[in-house]
Amino acid sequence: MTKILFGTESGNSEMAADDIADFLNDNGGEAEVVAMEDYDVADLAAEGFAVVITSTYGEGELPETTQPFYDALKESRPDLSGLRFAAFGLGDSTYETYGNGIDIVAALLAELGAVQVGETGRHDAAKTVTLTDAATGWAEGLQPTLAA
Amino acid sequence: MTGTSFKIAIIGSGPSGCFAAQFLRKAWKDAEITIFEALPVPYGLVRYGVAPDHQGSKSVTAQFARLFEREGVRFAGNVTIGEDLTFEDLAAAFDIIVPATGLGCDRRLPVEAHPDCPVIGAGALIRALNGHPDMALPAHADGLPRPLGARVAVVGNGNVAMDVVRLLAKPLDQFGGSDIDDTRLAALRRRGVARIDVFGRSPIGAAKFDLSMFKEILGLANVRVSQSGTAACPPCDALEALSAAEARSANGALSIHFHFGAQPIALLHGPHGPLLSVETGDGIASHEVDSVITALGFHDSRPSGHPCSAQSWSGAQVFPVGWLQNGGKGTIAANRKSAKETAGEIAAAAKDRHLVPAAPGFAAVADRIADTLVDYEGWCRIDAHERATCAPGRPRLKLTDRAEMLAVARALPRDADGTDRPHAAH
Repeated sequence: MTKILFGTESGNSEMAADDIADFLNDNGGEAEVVAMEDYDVADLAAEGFAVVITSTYGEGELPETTQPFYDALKESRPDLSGLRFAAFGLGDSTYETYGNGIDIVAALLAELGAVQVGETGRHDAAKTVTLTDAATGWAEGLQPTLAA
Repeated sequence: MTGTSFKIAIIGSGPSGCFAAQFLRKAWKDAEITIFEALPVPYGLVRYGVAPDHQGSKSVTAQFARLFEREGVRFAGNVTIGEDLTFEDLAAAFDIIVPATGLGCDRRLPVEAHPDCPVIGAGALIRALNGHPDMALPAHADGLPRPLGARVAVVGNGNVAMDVVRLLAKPLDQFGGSDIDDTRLAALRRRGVARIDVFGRSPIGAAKFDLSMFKEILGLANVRVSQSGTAACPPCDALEALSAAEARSANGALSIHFHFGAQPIALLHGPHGPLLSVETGDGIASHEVDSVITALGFHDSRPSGHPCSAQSWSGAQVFPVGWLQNGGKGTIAANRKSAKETAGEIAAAAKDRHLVPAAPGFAAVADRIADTLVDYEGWCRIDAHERATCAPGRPRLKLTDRAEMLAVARALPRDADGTDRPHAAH
C-alpha cells in the first residue's frame, strides 16, 4: 500500500493527492491518501515507498498542516535509508517563492537517507494547466520508475 | 417520520460554504447536502472577492466543482433564503443548517461624505471589477462606473488594500491571464490614475498585508514608490523591500506613496477641490484627492431582524461558518480550517444525539423554488458560455446581467446580440 502524504493550506494538495491515488489505483497500484497532520512519522521508515505532496505558504513557508510533519521528522531524525519517495509540489508563480515548500520537505527526506525517485512534480496555480492534469500526468510519468 | 440520513442545508456557496460541504461529506457519506446560493452562479467570494488577477487563489473552485460532480452535493442557485424560501421553511425541511453568507458590506470610514469625492468600499470596487451583476459603484446612466480621477486615496493596510492599489496601478495591458471586467476597469481608470496615496494606521512593522502582496506592488515596472511615517520604525522585511523599491523606482510614471501611522479624519472642501485630512504623529496634513477607497474590513450587509440577515437565523440546528462566524477574519485557507472545526462540532452534536435525522430534506421545498432554481447543470451552461466567449488567454468573460445569466442557464433561445428573445420560455 503506497502512502500518499499531503500537507495543505487551501485543500488543493489534498485534491492532488486524491487524483494521484485514483491514477495509481486505476493502474494496478494500491494507494492510500493520508493527511500529514494525521500521520505518525515513526511509521515512515517502514513504508518502502511514499509520495509526498505539499503546497507553499506565504513567503516560502510550509503550510500549517505540513509543518508539524516536518518538525517531527527534524526532531526524531529517523533512518530513512530504506525509503524511496516521490515528490509533488503546488505553488503560485505570482509570488517569487513559487513551489519552495516541496523542496524543503524533499531536502529533509534526502538528508535522512531517503532516495527520491523521478523528478519533483510541480503545479503552478497561476498557469492554465489544471491541477488534475498536472498531477495525473506526473503520476503517469512516475509509473515506469515504480515498476523498475 | 424519522429519516435515516441527515438532511443538510448550507446557505451560501462561497469558500466557507463549500469547505463546510467537503468536511460534512467526509463525516457522512450518505447525508443529503444542498448548497443554496442567492446568485445563479456559485463560489461567492472566490468568484467576486478574490482579485481577478489572482487566478491562483481562485483555483480552489476545482475542488468545489468536485462536490457537485462527484460527491453528490446539490447546487440550488438563484434562491435567496428570506425571500424565495423563508428561514422557517428551511428549518422545517432540513436537520442541519449552515449559514455561510459571509460579510457583504464594506466597513465605512467615519468621515463626512463629499459631493465631489466619492468614498467607495474596496469590496464593492473588487466585486465590480470581478463582473458582479449588482454593481454598487457611482455610475453613469449607461451603467458604467464613473472615473476615479487622477488622485486616489486608499485607506487601509491589509491585503484587500494591496489588491486595490495593484488593480489601479498595474498597466491595463498586463491583465492577460485574469478574468477582470475590462470595460469597468477602463471606465474607472479613464482619467488616468496618476497618484495613489495609501494610508495605514499601523507602523510598517505591524501592517496587516502579506509581504508577498506588498512586494507585488513594489515590483510593478511603471510605479514610483515613496513613503512616510517609517523614520522611527525598527528594521523589518517590509521596510527593507520598500526602501529598495524607493531607490530604484524614481522614473515610474505612476506615483504610489505609502503613509504609515496615518489616520484619515475628515474629507473637506478645499479651494481647489476635495481634501482628505489625515492625522499622523507629526500632526494633521491635507491631501488633494479625487476619490477615496476604504479597505477597512467587512460587516454584514443586512440589518439584524431582516429576513435575509444571518443574524435572524438561529436555533439548535444552526451552525454558522466562515466570516459570518468569526467577524471577517482570515484568508480562504484559514476559513477552511474554521469550516473543518464547525463540521467537527456538528458531527459531535450528532454523536451526542443532540441532532437526530428526521427532516424530509430538499424534496419538501423543491416545488416552491422550481420556477426560480438554477441547478448545477444550469451553472455549467453559464460556465461553458463564459469560457467560450472570452478573449484569448483569458479564463472567462463573466456575464454581468442576471437576466442573461438565467437565459443561458435555462438554455433559452437567444438572439445573436445575446439578449433574450421575448416569449421564448416554455
